[in-house]
Amino acid sequence: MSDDVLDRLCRHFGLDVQIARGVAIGPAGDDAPWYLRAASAIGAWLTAAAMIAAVALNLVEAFDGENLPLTAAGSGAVIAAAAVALHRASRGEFANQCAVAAALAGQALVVGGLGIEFEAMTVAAAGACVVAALLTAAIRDPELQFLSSALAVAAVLAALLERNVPQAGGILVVVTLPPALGLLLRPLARLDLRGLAWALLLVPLGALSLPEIGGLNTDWLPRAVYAAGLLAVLVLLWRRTTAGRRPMVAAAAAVAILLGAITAAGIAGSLLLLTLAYLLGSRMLAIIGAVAHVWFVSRFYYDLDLTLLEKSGMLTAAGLLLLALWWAWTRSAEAEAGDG
Amino acid sequence: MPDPDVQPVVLPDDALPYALLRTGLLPPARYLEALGLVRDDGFWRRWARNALLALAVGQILAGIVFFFAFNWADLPPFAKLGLIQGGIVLCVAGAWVGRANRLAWETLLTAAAVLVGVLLAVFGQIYQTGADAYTLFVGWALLILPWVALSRALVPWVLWLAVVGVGGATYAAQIAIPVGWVEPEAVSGLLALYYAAALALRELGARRRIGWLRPLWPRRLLAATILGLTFSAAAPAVLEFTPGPFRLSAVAPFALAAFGLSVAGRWWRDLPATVIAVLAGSLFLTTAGLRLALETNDLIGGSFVLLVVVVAVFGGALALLRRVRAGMSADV
Repeated sequence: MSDDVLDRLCRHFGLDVQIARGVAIGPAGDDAPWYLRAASAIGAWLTAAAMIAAVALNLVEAFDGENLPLTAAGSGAVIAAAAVALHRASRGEFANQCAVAAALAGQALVVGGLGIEFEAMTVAAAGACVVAALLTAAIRDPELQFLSSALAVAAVLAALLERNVPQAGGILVVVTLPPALGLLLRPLARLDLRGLAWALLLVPLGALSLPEIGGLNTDWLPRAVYAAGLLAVLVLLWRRTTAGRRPMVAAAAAVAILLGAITAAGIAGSLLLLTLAYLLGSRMLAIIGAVAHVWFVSRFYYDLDLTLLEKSGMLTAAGLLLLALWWAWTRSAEAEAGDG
Repeated sequence: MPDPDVQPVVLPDDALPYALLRTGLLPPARYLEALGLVRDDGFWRRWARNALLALAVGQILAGIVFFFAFNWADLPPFAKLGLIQGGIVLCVAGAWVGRANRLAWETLLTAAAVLVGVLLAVFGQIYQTGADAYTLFVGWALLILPWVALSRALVPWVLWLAVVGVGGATYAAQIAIPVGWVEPEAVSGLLALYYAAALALRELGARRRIGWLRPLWPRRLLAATILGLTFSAAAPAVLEFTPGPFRLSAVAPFALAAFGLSVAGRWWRDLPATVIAVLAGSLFLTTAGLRLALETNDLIGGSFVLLVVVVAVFGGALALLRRVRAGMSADV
């Protein structure tokens, strides 16, 4: 945290500097580096896996095949409840990670047990959503919230695909994108739902990697929804930009929407992620957006029904166009720096 | 008394608006406004321009690759080899011209070194000499050694070490093992010894303040490689059910590597290297716990044995790492 940023915020919003400084220096906690947290997470997940294996083997031994799915679902609920209790009682990173892993395993058992018992993914998806909502309310952990919500969204998609709902991917995007954007751009003050927002934003985009959802001839609905979302975010950006930069933002917006419209839904979605990353100042989202963009551009060219020579021409032409844009932008930036 | 391991967290600038919102000091309707105030526009403009350049260059290169892939089968041999040699010359020339820019120097030299391997592979494909695969890697390593030595850059050296390692492994598989000069189980240990020698030389050079050796990532990469190679021999040896004398000889190198690198990491005050070594050791002990669990011949009893082992191993490992970290912070 830099003092001038804090002072700028306090001056602009009329905040008391001392109170704001107290907020900026957060509660004492373990600020372990990422690699230590990763090692802790590996140990915790292995521990949770061993625990689940021990419980599962006991269940198989104790119950016959007929009651097994419902028993597994019930055990999953009990494991998730135990995980909540562990998370609330613990202070350490390792125990918290064990609780997260156990809670997710419990949710997976509920989903799997209900799905097998009722032979319907719809019931399983409903169970997944209920468990995700309960875990979100009980454990204030953004990672658990994200993973649990991601599992629920994936279960909903599986239910839609099981029922052969046309444009399943697009319907999922229609339902998830507006609340995701709402939670990210105007978060709730009383509840931290960022994990849920990220799951609603990223899982449907990832699902476009599936051929039956993200095929070039079948993705008109998600393409339209992502284009609309991109337009909405760009309007927000345009409103917050200085008058001098607005033409550039408008031009970039036109190019981005055109690109998304003529290529693939995944490309439009990745451009939305990149724009959101800038608006929110999120470097993590920028990296995810960049990786998603490369992935979906590669998929687009792979799916095109053209010869290697024709694809070569398209790639080179697109690359030269982007290079020209980069050159023009760099020259403009240098000219600005020279004037300044 | 405050726990010395637990420090107050100072939020980064971009996390301030959300923290203020959550404490009720900032209304949700003005959240984006606050984000605009803390945003480092300079960083984002540079990032976006670099990303645009990377995407442009990536698409142009892919277009060139696709063009040659389309025409490859119809190209005469001299054209195939000539194209690759032309690429090598261009990369070396570009590295020389851009030698003032460290990134350009390192990237283009590495690309030239990779293309040498491609050249040898295409040569072998065209002329079908019948030579063993190890000759490609050994030849590749010998040809690029002068460039790598002159480069004074880390990435070419990492590439060279990898090529030599693969050459050694293929030589062992094709010559040394069939002839009986070395046991199959000893190959990973010998490779680990080779990378340990490279690590020792790196540390020696860094202590002599050779500037380009200062970055720490090669040390950590070599440590992970040594541990990975020795683990790949030790873990199957632990899980094997046939008793044999070689089991200790397969486990000992890993034990030595894990213990040695843990101690060295503490001595270097390099927490990531220490974490890698301790994590590898914990995974090995978990594997040993799995063997113990299987030995009980009782699925339920065995699963609880494994659970106890995993909790004890990782709980102990993380407690140890917390102490090491606290010790390193106290040393500073």
